Amino acid sequence: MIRQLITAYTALVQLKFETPPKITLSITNACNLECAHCYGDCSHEPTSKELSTKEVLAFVDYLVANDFIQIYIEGGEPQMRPDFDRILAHCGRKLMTLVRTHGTLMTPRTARAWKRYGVGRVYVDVMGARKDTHEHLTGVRGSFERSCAAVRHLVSAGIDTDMLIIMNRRNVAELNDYLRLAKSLGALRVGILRLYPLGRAKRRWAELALSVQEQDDAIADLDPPAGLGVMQSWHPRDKNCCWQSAAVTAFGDSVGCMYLREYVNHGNIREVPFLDTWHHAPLYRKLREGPVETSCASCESRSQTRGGCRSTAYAFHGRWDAPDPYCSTMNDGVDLRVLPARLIQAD
Amino acid sequence: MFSQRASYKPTRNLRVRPVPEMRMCFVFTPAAPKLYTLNMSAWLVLTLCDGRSGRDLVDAYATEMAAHLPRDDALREVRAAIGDLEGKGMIVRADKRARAQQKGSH
Repeated sequence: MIRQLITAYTALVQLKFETPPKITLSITNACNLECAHCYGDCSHEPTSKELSTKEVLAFVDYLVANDFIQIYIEGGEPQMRPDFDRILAHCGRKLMTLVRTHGTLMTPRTARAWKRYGVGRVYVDVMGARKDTHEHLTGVRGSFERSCAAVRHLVSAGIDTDMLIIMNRRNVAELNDYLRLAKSLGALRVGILRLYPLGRAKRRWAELALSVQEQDDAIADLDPPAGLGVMQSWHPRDKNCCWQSAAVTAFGDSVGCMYLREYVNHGNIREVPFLDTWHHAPLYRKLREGPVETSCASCESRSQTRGGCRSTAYAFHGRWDAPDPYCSTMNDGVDLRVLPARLIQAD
Repeated sequence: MFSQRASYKPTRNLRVRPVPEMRMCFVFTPAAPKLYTLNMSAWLVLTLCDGRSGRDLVDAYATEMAAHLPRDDALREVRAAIGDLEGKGMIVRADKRARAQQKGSH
């Protein structure tokens, strides 16, 4: 009964920000790893199209002036930018600053510097509980030990640190070992993320993708050690985050959410102020309003949002208001191991 | 612990991001970088922490909330909110902040 009431309420009251308080900013598409699943299709060298130091710092000032309160910085690998310390120092005391990194360039000294700059939380990508799994996925020998060491350095420096893993066929059998590894390294939480059909992940889809049942089974089998938090977005926690999402790519494109980067472009911040894209881009507005064909009542009552993730819904159905097939209730027979030809042809 | 005689102020460089459309605000505490979400009543208490005493805080809060709750409840809510805001580093006792600033300048 309570669940029905909540569902009825959320159907009536769409969550809404007049302007976004939080934003994700990718600052580079350069990376020293060669991940099989890389969503950004990163290369070792940055391109000249990336936002310059001056542009990034000016954008951070713009965010502060417009009452943003949190920035989530990702790449590529943010540490590939030679000006990254300067960027962090610019953000750290004005915005709650979160950084996503694979940590292979992290040293104890870097971790202490990040602490001084005021970095609030770091998310370290580690793609398996075992060296061979991680390095098969990252394509670089020695990266497992360096990423694990990064977690230790950050924890020692006193920065709240989480570990992130993109669940796929290569690492799904070792998720509980992964949770224990995270606990032993001092991470506070583990984020188990879905595999999105973006970038290089599309080209390795047959090797990496799992069915929705395999994914649900793996989540159901999780047995985290005491004190370790687990973040995951499977049924009944499949959220439609679009109502609050704001993200800008390394090239300055406003894309709403980094997982939508291949499907949308609401405008470039070199040409229009970011908030103009928020207020005026028709698709951005539509996605935030959240119209969907159908919704899972359990996910809806938990998240107060409808329809689940728009990126995977669009990827598999080609419609913005389609149900998210990563939720078992809304899957409706979609085999997540098989990509729509449309996505492969577009690549 | 809440004191009626102590006076309370926001911590230095605190950033508050109102979200009135959702009846809440975000608060960023740069000194120990954390982001918090406050509901309307905690947000009201934070706003009232402008250097006034705990006693005046309760009076002001009770006045604002007069239509909704009696003074004893106001006292209980302010006491709880002050403990929470102080514990999370969003407010300090004004005399404590003055002492800390004085110490920092030497």
